[in-house]
This record gives sequence, structure tokens and C-alpha cells, in this order.
Amino acid sequence: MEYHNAMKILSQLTIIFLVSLLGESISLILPFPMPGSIAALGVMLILLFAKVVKEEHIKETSKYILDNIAIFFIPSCVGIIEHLGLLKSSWWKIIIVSSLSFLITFLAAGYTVKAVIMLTRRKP
Amino acid sequence: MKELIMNPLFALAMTIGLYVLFTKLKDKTKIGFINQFLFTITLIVIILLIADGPYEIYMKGGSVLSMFLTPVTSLLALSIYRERKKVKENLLPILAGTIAGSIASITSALLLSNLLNLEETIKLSLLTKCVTTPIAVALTNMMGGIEGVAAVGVMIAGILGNVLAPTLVKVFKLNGPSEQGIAIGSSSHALGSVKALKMGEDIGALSSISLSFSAIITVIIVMIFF
Repeated sequence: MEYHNAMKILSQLTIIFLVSLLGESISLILPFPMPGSIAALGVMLILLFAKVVKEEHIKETSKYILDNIAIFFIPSCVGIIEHLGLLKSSWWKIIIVSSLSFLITFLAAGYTVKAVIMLTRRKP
Repeated sequence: MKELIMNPLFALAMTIGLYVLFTKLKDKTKIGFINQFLFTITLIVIILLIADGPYEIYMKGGSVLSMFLTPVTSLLALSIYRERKKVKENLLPILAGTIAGSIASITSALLLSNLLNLEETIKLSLLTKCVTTPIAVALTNMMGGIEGVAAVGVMIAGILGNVLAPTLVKVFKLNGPSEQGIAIGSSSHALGSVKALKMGEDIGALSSISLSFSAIITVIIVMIFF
């Protein structure tokens, strides 16, 4: 049983790596820039809907990874250390822009949905 | 000592270890503002500054984790796929809300950055602050922004959504579950969705659908215009 589970994870990882490789290759071929990771997401989505990859082909490994996804982004974000000079002068601007822009986004999305619902309801 | 720090395993153990430590601390103390992701990044930066260890040396181990960025991002497809039924039922409001939200997010970040005379690289890093970290980091990297700043922007939007969402929906009279869920998901991704789920199950589902949709729409906008 233990052996079986380990093999399951390994075969799921293989599928995930192959799909990622396909995504990375596609992003190299495309005539416009697209991050390989986003191309891989698109490929995975298409394969799921086409039922080439089924949910149970990647389920256990996905849960484990998605629950801890933030870990993988820590090293690239530590790269902020090379830009501390820039931050020293503009950290407060970053906070202002992010906060206000968050509020504007929240309201734009909320009121658009409200308007759409009202418009579609009015029709008989 | 120097040899020990130079070993890639040191960076790897430090990164994963600190993340686990902060996660446990958060679970034990139940202090909501402990964000294990941001805390780990900050502490590693401080440690590297004190130890005078350059980023390249840290990345000898760190790159092992970065190598997995594409595979782990591809798995986000699964969360979209799982919600396909709910998407069908609410397609029009979801599309309209997330398109409006993504446009508002990017243009307001651009205008506000210009207003405050923010440096170009930082400005580019804040355009994607309303989408989930994997997408924001990938897009920022592509546009020539700073990934760490993108992560900070994403966290600010997420934390604000998590803390303020219940108040904002009351103050601005967004009463229906779709208004609330889609507004939260488009503006504060997964961190906001956690709170949305506490406000109601359908609000939470709509929020996590919207976070996927606004990620896709933001990708499209950024690829066309930047």
C-alpha cells in the first residue's frame, strides 16, 4: 500500500512536470511574450476540459502543493533585497497606491455586478 | 561557518523552516495578521543583510524552490476546473465584474503611481496587485518589474480585503452574494476569499471563481498593453 501511494505521487508529479514542460515550450514558440507558468496553466486547463488529464491524475499531489503554494514564491521575492534603495524612498507610496487601487477595484467590480443584476432582472 | 552558509541546503532549510515556524506560530497564537509568507521573506532579507550574504548565494538553494514555479502555477487550473458548474450559472455577472475590476485595478495603479511620481520599475510591479501571487510575480517579471514589490502589493490588497470586506460591503451597500463575492475575489484574491467563505458559502465560491477570472483577464490585458 505504501509503495502504491509513493508511485501514485511520482506518476502525478510526472504528469504535472510534462504539462509544465509543454507550457514552457509553448511560451518559447509564441510570437509574443507569455510567462511559461501562465502558458502551463492554460495547457493544464485545456487538458482538464478535454479530459486528457483527469482530476484524479493529479489530485493528491495538487492538494499538497496548492496548500503550501506560497513557499515556492519566497526565494524570488527575497530578490527585493537588491532593490532596498528604491524602497527606502518610496515604501509609503507603495502602500498608498496598493490600498487605494484595491478600494477602487473592489467598488468597480461590486457596482458593475450590481448593475448587471439589475439590468438582467428588469427584462421579463 | 562561511562554508555552512554557502551550502545550498542552508538556504533551503532556512526558507522552508521559517515558513513552517511562522505557520505554526500563527496556528498556535491565532493572531490573524501573522502572514507566514511575508514574515518569512522579511526575516530572510534581514538575516542576509546582517550576515552580509549576497542574494546569489541564497539563490543557490532558493533556486531549487523557484524551479517549481511553473508546475505549481499550472495546478491553479484545477481550482478553476472544479468550479465549472457555478461559473456557468453566473457567467455574465462574473465576467462583467472581473473585467471591470481588472481594468480598474490596472488603470488606477497606473494613474496613482504617475500622480505620486513612483519609479517605473515599482509602478510596473503594482499593476497586478489584485491577482494571486503566482500570476502577479510571473507578469511582473515579464514586464521588468520587481517580484518582491509585486508580492508586497499583492499582500496589501489581500490583507485589506480580508480585514475590510465585511465593513466595505455594508458601507457601500453591496447586498447580494454575487456583488460581495465577485468584488472580494477581483480585488483581494485568495486572502480575501478566505474571509468571503466565512461570510457565506456561496460568497466564498463566487470569490474564488472571480479570483481565477480576474487573473486570466489581467494576463490578457497585460499581454496586450504592456
